[in-house]
Amino acid sequence: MPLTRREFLKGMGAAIGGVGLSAVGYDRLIPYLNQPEDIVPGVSTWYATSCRECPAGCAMVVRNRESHVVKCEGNPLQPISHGTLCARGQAALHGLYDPDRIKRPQRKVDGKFEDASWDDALDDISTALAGQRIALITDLQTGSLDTLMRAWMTAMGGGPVVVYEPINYEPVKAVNGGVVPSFNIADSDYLIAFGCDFLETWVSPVEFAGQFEVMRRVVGGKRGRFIYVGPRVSMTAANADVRIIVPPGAASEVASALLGRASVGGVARKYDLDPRVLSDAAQGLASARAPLALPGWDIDSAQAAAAVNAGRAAGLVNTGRPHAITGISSMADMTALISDMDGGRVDALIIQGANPVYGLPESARFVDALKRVGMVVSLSSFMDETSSRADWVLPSNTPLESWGDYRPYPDVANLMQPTMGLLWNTRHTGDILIELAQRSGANLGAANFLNYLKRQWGVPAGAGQASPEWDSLLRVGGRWPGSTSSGRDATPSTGYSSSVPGGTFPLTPLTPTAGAVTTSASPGTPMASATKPPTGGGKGIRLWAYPHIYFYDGRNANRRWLQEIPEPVTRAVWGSWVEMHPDTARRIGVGMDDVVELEHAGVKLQLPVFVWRGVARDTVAVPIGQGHTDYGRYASGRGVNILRVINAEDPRVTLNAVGDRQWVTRIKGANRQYDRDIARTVALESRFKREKPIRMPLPSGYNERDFYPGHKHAGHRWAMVVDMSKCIGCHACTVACYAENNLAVVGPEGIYRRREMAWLRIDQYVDWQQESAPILFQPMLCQHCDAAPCEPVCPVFAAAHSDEGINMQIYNRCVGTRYCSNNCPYKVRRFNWFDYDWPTPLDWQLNPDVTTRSRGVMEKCTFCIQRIREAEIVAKREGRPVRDGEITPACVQTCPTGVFTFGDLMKDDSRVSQLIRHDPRAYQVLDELNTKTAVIYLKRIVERT
Amino acid sequence: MNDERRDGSWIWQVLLLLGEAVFVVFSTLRDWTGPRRDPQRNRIPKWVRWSAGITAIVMIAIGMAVIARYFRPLPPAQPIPFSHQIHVQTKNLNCFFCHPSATYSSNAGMPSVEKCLLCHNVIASNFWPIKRISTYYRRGEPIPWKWVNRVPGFVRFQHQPHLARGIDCSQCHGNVAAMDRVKAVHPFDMNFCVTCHWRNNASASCFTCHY
Repeated sequence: MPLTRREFLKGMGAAIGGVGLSAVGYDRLIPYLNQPEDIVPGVSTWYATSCRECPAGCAMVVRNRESHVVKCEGNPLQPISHGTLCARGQAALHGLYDPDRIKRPQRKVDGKFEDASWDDALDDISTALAGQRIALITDLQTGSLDTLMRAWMTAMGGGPVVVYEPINYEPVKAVNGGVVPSFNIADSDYLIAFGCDFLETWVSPVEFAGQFEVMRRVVGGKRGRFIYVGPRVSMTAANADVRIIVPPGAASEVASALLGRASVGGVARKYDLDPRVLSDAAQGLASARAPLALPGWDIDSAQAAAAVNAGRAAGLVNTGRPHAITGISSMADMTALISDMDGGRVDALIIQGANPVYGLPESARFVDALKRVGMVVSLSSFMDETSSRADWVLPSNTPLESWGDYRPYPDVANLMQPTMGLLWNTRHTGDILIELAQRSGANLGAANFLNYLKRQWGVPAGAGQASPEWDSLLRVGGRWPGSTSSGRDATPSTGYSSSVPGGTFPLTPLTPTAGAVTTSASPGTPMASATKPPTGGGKGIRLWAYPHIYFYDGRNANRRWLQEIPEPVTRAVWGSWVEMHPDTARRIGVGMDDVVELEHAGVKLQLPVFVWRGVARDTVAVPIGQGHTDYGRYASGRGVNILRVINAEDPRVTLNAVGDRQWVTRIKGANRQYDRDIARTVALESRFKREKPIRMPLPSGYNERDFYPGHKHAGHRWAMVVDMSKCIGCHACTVACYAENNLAVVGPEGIYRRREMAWLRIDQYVDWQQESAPILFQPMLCQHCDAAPCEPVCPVFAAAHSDEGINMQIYNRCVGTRYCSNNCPYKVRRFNWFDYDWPTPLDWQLNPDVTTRSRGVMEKCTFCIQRIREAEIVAKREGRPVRDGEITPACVQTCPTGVFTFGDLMKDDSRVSQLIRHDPRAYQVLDELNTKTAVIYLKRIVERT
Repeated sequence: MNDERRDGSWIWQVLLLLGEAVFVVFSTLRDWTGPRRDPQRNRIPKWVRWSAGITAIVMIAIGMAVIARYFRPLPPAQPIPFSHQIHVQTKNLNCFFCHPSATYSSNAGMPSVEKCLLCHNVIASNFWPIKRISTYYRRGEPIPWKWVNRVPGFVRFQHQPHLARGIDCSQCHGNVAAMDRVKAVHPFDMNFCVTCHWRNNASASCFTCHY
């Protein structure tokens, strides 16, 4: 029967009705089956654990809401993190929630992975291991897991254990008697970093950033001076007073010149430096009270640092308190293992957490050697380059799901506890090893890793045995000097921790051991660091591969927040690039975004050029960390892996223009000020004087120039002070903001179209004429203007002023005209061009206290209104006013140097009020627009303006 | 099981059927009148057609109004026919016995399945709805309660400050103690919220609820 129009319409009517009736959506209220004791829906539970994103060992507290962890913060009790965290620590959540994690054991059959059960896996592996020659490669572990792995190897017949990290600090160890010592930057007054990015990746960046801030405080018109000697103006170098940019391998010569052992003029001529700068630095070094030099990534800079430190920095370099990094095996051990594997002397190889296939250069021939190993078992959370070449992949828990411990220094021990339940069918590495040992008939003395851990910590390990000591350890987060006497626990009392920015950090004074500094650098030490020592003064272009601030050695590349956040000085995202000086670029005949082929020892890599003056001539700088082939959807196939080519005897590379162009994906926008005085500086020697009065974001700030009257505030007027002198540009605040406020990740295409969603960005202004601070970092967030230009233009009052002074953006009112963004002079409003996705389980990370915005809605900084509300409610419950410093927005909370101060402007004794009224450096960005911003900046102190 | 059949959703199906019927009646009427091109055949006077049509529309409107007035859809049927009346009025349980976190959390909290069985392991454990709870618990499934009192996703409602201020549960939830099946008494729209905020001198700034 032919369908008539009428029948069709009738049918459609019924169908549409049916759809309407069946659209029930999410309308269920699901209770717990058994409610966990420490979880209350709607209330955050904080678990103290240790960050394991890099070897630094910051203790952190992790916020659990309704059994999902949603935010990481520094543990305010621990001396290393002093309550703060870096960008990588904030992004630890993305390791846990990575959608491409290994979900169950995998067995390789005919080159393909198949799901397997744990029983099959452990049976198969324990049978195969019996009587075999086993070797173990692990990433850096200390404490219980390290002890367990070594005991396991002994029980299984004994074999080599190689602690493998792509960046192994061998040069630092070589000049410090075989250890990575602890450094006391805070007590130094003259700091020289030789190619050492201690604010980004080197050893313990959060700890050093805190110490650096202490060193740089102006006391009596003076502050510690910082000289950077290296091949590239890194973020760390941008914070120095003097940058001596020389090619890799020249650090020792510069050090000799600074120490007066070589002619300043000669070195200056050789490397095209200003002799006045060198002699000035040399004089400063000679007259310094407590100079300290930090050794960098290569042996040359390590030797340079050792020469400067010799005899003078005894109190500041403490080899008696070695960092955990000391435990990384040398490249020689790895080479020995590879030759064993190659010679068929290894039957079974267990790889735990490490990724040597990615990290080792092609010349090490690890991949070939791996093929000659009978059975390769990988214990990893991710299907990385190494796991994908294994015969068995046993998924291990991520650190946030694990029991464990980590000891960054001998006197600091962090305890790790699971911060949420297991996401997938994974097991703890320790449990896997114990189980394997049991099946092979060996006894490691504990039924599971938790018991093993408890025994190591000296607490009763029996089931059901209550131990107040263990409970208190879990609450504090570990043992370190002063951890038992504080009587506090790591859970922030108000729900949010209140580390006092700009206040006193509980820095551990380092106890110097007399004459502990050894400077006997053995020139014959095999070099396995990221960058090779140069072989004399040969001509040619040298490669400087530096650990990317967010990816370190490549392990963090699958965290999409970190891919999205710009590298501080180049502002490049989502890829690799090769940085070169304009002169070098001209000689090769390439410009910005031209693709070059970088060739070394037969390996060719193609990557786009980033031209800027921040690299030494005849040097190309490439970040380490990208170029993964298997590491989940966010890391795979992005950029190139420079680790493949380094580590040969010769750092020289050849570069050829390919004739292709590829945009180095980077955050757009001008990095010049065009005389608008946005980021201002003040000379250290000058009298700090306020140029113009602050236009207060209060009724008192209004006068006859204003058309509208001022706003009445109900009790509070929130405001923020940003001390640009403290900002090092590390972007920890940005990632914290992404985590706290459910910011969308737009990807490289989105960045290309300027659709990034960062509420808080770090603007960067470059002016090479300003010698003492050519790169200025300026955190730029919504200024919460009292006379906000965005508010009067909104046709639907979605941009409005709250009764506590905050400039609000009401998402459910917004219709997306974008007039507000157009009218915002600070360009801090972000528009949702699409409904951005959070592939499960990344959506489990979303903060339940913040609405997730949908397409067509404008959004921007809210001063973390959810945290303000929570603190207000807690204060009301306790019947007291909100204390100053109690409210810490996410950026304020995480900043390692305490740049931000947040508080109530209507209280005269609050810290923001004091700073705004009395600090002569205070100014408002674009104050001539009379916007009466509530974010007040303090000028950056520089040596000379 | 009587409970399930009293579910209100059948009303909408009836309304839909009614709509379909009107459609069919009108189209049939038009079929009777025949194609417009042939004005001579079976002509029904215009006033008859008009009055019939208008009468039909009025009748249907009246019918729908009656249905809407007297056949209010029932609140959603719950997987377990839980009666607040018995628990609160007869057995005198406090609200906070089952919803304890209302005083210290944004969320009032739903009792865990384990908590139901805390009493019902002993009390009325052979009654069929209780058996159903035990079945849920045995199977390791939570009870999929239907959500009745909801605020939209862009509202950040917090129980705790309201209770701290001494607002009684019933001001928003109605007299739950008298309800068998819980129903939403007040529409949780902005009018309801803001009126009360004004009356109590609470902040009615957008950022109080929307962020």
